[in-house]
Amino acid sequence: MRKILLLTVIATFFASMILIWGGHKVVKVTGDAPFCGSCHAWDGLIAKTHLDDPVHGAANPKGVQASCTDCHLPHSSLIAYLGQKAINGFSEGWTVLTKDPTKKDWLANREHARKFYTYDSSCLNCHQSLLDQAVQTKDEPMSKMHLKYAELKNTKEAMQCTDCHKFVGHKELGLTLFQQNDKRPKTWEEWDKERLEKKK
Amino acid sequence: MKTLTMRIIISFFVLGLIFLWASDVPQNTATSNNHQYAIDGIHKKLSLGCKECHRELKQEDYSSAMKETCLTCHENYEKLKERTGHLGHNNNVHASPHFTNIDCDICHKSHKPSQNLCLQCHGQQTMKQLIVK
Repeated sequence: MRKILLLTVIATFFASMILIWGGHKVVKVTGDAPFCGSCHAWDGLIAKTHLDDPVHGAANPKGVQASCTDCHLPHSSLIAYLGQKAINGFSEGWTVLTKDPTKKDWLANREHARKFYTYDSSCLNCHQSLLDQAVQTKDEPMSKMHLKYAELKNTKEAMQCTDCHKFVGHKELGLTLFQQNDKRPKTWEEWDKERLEKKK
Repeated sequence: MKTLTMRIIISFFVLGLIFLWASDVPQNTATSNNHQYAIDGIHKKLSLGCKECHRELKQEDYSSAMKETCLTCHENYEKLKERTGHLGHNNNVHASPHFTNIDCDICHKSHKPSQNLCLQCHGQQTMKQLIVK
């Protein structure tokens, strides 16, 4: 009986370890570019603008880079993180399978994406010291803003980090999305070619 | 005796009126200034005060030349150009080839309606539709 109990404890221990390690690995692998890109290739060049970003992207000269889920999933708790991850997974999969990316107004969608797919808990996961620093240097212009953010937090007037830091994480996102839709000639040669074709 | 009492009462009354008037003046001015120089939008939400933008020491010296203070938060024209990049080559007002470093308040007014300087020459409909905040 004691032997069975011991074996059960050991088996449970190893099963838990495998589950925890495996779960962590799955969450990690499914939280960055290659996996996210399998659905988000649908979004066109948006992912590329992240790679080009010199602060949060691969273009950071010091090599510090935020992954997609570092910013686009909540970090308030493990449950919130995994729950939102599951919801996003289903939602993105459904969108890719049933909708047409060419019919979407990507420029207008930025406002929606900021509101619903960026999380203060993610920003503060790395930048928490900003708020502490603001208390110590409260007369600095930036500190005043950050203190106001802290003051309004959990009120009806609460602000999101991305209300001010609108374009963080994606270099030239607006221009890229504009150019993706803009079919007009970009050079004199292209203008000339179009003019000649119209004459025919 | 009666006349003296009346004089004292009248003097106190007049002094009282002067005191009330004097204490009321700055209050009225402040209210009128707040109304006249009200700010709105995100700057209002952030409770920006006069001194956040106007660096001059005295209120009477406040001018609209405050690009430096705008750029304390809004960084530089390169960033602004990126911020309005979604408007495209023809309409990106912050990437103007003519005016590369003009004062912000030429278009962006905090205390009265803003205006689009580019419209003085550029008449395209897409430019006319731009809302200057």
